[in-house]
Amino acid sequence: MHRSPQEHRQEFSEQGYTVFEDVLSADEIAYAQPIFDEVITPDTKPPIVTGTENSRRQMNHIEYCEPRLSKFGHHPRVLEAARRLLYRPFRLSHTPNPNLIYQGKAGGLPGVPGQWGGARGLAFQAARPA
Amino acid sequence: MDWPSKPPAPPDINGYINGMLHFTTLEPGGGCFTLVPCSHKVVQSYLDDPAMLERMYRSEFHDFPGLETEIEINVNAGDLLFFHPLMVYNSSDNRSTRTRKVLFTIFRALDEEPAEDDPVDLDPDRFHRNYVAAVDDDVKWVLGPLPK
Repeated sequence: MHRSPQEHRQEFSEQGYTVFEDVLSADEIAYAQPIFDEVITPDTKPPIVTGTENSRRQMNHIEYCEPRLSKFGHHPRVLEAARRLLYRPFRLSHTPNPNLIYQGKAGGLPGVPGQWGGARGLAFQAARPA
Repeated sequence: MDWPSKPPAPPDINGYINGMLHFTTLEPGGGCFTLVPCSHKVVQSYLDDPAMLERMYRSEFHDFPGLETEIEINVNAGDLLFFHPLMVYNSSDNRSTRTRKVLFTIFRALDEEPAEDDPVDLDPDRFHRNYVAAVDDDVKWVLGPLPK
């Protein structure tokens, strides 16, 4: 976390996103990487396999909660980053879940005409009001 | 990528932030998170337009008025990306030899600290029992006040 909270907030407000760098250590990453492979494999069946045609995306889903990974969602440096960005009380909304993208098609390639910019695959998270 | 379960509806979606904690370094064409910068403002501006809102629910963003060009977000393992819940986003094809690995986390901002005598309802569709059990006491607050 090399930038000031103000820089992150401004970037998030203006651009819609911001990146906190080096939140995890190399040791933490090395510990977690093989756990992803234990939890979800390329053959894992729906409901978590979704996405565009021929996609090999493995989506996050509560069924694949793995506490050893999910605990990184409330890692002290993750919470500190959230605190710097939100500057008010906050809570988790969901169990943190793993999300994988294997080799293959997912959403196309940005900047390549006809590859990415189509309707398919773009997401809008809000739910329809009940 | 989709909201894991029970996404909020506008305007209540404001106050949420999505986090992607990266466990692999992502280079162009490696299954990176892709987004349209500033698209959260464009989406916000159309929330009161029924026709445009329907188009957004259908994820019909091709030639969508006001949207900039999409970009890939290349990050290193260990980096944490936060993005607005109204962003137009996707992921790039993964042409690399490595699987993209991230942990998807959603935080919800509150106007004030929740009262201790008003315990949170940990919806099992949103909070896995194994996760709740694994949260250490010193960070239980991140779930909210729990029933005694």
